Amino acid sequence: MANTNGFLGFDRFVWFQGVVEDRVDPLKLGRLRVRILGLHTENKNKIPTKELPWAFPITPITNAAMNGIGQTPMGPVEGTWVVGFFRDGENCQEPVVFGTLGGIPEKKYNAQVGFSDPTGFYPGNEYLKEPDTNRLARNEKISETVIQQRRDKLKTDVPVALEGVSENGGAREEGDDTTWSEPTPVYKTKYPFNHVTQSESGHIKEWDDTKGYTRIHEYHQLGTFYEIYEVDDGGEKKANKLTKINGENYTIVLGEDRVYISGSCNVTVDGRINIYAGGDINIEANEKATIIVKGEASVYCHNNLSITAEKNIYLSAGGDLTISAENINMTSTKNSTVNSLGGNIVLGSALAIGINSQQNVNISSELGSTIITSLISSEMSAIGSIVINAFETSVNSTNKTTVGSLNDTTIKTNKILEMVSMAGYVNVASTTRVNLEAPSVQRYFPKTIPSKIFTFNP
Amino acid sequence: MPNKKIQPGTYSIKSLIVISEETAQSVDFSNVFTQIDIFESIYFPVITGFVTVTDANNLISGQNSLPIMGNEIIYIELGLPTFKLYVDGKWGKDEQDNNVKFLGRVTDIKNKTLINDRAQNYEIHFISQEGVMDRNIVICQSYKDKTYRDIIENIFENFGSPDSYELEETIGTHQIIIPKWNPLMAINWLAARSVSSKYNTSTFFFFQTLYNDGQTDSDRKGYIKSKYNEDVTSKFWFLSLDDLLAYGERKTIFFRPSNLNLSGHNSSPDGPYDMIFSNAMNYEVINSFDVMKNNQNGLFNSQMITHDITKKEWAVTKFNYENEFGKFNHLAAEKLFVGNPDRKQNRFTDYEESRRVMTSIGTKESPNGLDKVSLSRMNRIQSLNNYKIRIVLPGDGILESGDIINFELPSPEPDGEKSFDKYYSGNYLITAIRHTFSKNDYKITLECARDSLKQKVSK
Repeated sequence: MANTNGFLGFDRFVWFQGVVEDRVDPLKLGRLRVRILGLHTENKNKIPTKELPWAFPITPITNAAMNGIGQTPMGPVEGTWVVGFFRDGENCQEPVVFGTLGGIPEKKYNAQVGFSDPTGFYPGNEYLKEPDTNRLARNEKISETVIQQRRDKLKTDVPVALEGVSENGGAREEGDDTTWSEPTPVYKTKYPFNHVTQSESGHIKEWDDTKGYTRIHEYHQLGTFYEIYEVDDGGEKKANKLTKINGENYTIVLGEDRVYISGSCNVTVDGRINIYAGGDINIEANEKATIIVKGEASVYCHNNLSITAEKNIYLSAGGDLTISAENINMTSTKNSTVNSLGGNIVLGSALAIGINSQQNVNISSELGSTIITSLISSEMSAIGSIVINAFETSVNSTNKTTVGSLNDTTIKTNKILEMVSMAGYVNVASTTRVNLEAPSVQRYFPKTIPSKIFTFNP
Repeated sequence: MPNKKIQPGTYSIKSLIVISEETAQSVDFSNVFTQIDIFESIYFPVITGFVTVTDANNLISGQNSLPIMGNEIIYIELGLPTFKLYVDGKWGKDEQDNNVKFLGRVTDIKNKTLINDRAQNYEIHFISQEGVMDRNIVICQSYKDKTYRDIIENIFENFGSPDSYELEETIGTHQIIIPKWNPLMAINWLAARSVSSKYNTSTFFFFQTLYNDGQTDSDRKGYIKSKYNEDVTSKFWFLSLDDLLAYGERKTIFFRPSNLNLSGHNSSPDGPYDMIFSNAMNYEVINSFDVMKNNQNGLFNSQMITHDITKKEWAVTKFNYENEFGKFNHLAAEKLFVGNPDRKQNRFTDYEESRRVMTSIGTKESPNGLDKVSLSRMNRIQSLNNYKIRIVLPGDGILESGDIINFELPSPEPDGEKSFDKYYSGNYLITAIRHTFSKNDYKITLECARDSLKQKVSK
């Protein structure tokens, strides 16, 4: 056999137990200054903490320990008991640590002497006389854990859309799901099935294998968390997920995103909802779509806006209905009806108003007046006949009023027929016949207009 | 005025007292002892020994005596052969007193046998006080930015030793923790890692000698910090092998059997030459060479694989006897024989990995420097395991462990070819001494080793 004396690894394995007193490794390798029981004195005058050797941490085989790959080797804190060995065997100068030892500390140790946390922080007073194993793993003192914090801060009675009205606009019947609440944590851990990782500040990860109550829980110490927990849905095992964010949430997808929800989705936002699409927005409902706006609603389109209904379109305004456009074209394949049940119908135009019909043009007013007013000219023309029937019919123009047709033009009133031109002529011309029919026909000549200008062709 | 001159091989007993501090009593054994044996070695840090006693008064446990129960003080004072100082190539005028003053502690009583109804024989074993204290003192101390030499001095002072000491300076500063080791273990550990400031080489020894021969002031003065104490003559040394080998032989020792007539050498001249030459009463070759151990222990070739845990690097340091021999002090000019060629026509020095070691280089904060010391240390320790002889000669009060002698061994060849053995003769390093003070004489048994040959093996 070869002489193996002095050969690293063939020498006697010298292992030790010790206490971490410093973990601020200047090389940031996770090394720890460990005061080694039986080899080092607790007297810091003889061996100050800062002169303890740095012990290298051994990381598990699942860790690459290369280029930042794998889990970082930080874990022990000041005061942690560790187990290790000396790389240099009995020379005892180069410790390596490979594990930590939990226990049930009963008292705090003097921070001024060795084998304790020099800062005096660990172990915390509130953890004395209880196992170092996490309370969530033990299911003990849960009232002092994040589970209790979650229970205390449950979000309840979150309204859903259409809270007060049904999809049809009517009041919702009692019993409908008009609100929902945050589920109470399903924590029923049995030792030793809950695998807990907790950081110093209080971040927590749980992998709970407790039968029937399995969970995955990741919790930020400020209350943001998600939990995946087992539920029994009518005999079928499922895993619900609860995500709660105590703060703002940002989701950024640099590629495409797909969300599939087989059931309903309720989104409740106390503030605004802004949806922006650089491209199209498509919303498709296989059944009804209901939008209820309790304030004002606007649809603004930079380009064309199309509203198409394979059946009817109902536009209903409690107040006015105002349609404004450069050109308004309304086309119906059948009839078009404009009814004003309680007031007037006024067609106004800064230029001409043309009412064209392949057949007849009927403008009628049952009780009030039919008024056609133009600042330039008022023209009514029809291939067929133009009939203006009203209790009172007035055609006024400040310039020229022409009523003509290729056939007969009849201006008829049962009371007063006035044709007034304030500045020009009143021409009533016909290639065949002009029929002015009224109980009385009056010619009126403004005093400022010479009478000879007036022509009248009987 | 110097005492009456004492010749080599003789001595005077001045005191042999065992003192019990517990009972405040002491017993003088100077009249009842039959032999005092005292051992010192460069490989062992403290002096040990035993006193053989023929006792008719039950001095160790009688009514009016000490009970010797352990850790009693034993004080030995002896008058050794006187000598003249030899300084700067000249002998001094006055003969020097040469007394041994040694303080030890009783460790055991062994071989207690009755001679008759009233008398008994036994051995009172003792060790240096430091040897006993070493078992009870632990050093638990961090040292930062200290040389190994300074650390050793700090550790040694834990003993409160009355002995003087001389500590050779070492190179470099270090950060280490002595983890509750006994002081001598700690010192031995440090010695194995030390590098001499003067020679820039490793291989240190920490040891105690029975007496200071009086030449310390002159031969190592100037570069070794030392502390002297007049109460005892025993002394501690922390010296590199290169320093031990840096000085010439202290004495030439002949071995001349009665039937061998060598001319040209006066074996017992008068005057100060007593201190230069001695006749060996006997000698024994303990070891000549050991091919197996030489190869196994890295005498000729070795490799060290070093691992840097921080940089994740490893390196190989090689040591080749042929290449490195000239870098160190040696007892003779020629290398040890590197073996006859084997069937591959290779010699031992041709095999690079005959001895392999692997070690860490330490940490970034505290590199251990083993890559610079270990291989050469292995080589040099093993080189001292080749030619080892044991010589018995009259006690002279001069030779100490760590001294060099020139041993002239006649070649047992046919008449007419009288000469000295060319391979076994030459300089040797005294690695250990057994001082034997019997009722009538004083003998020293030297264990000596050599690391090189006087003459090259050649055709």
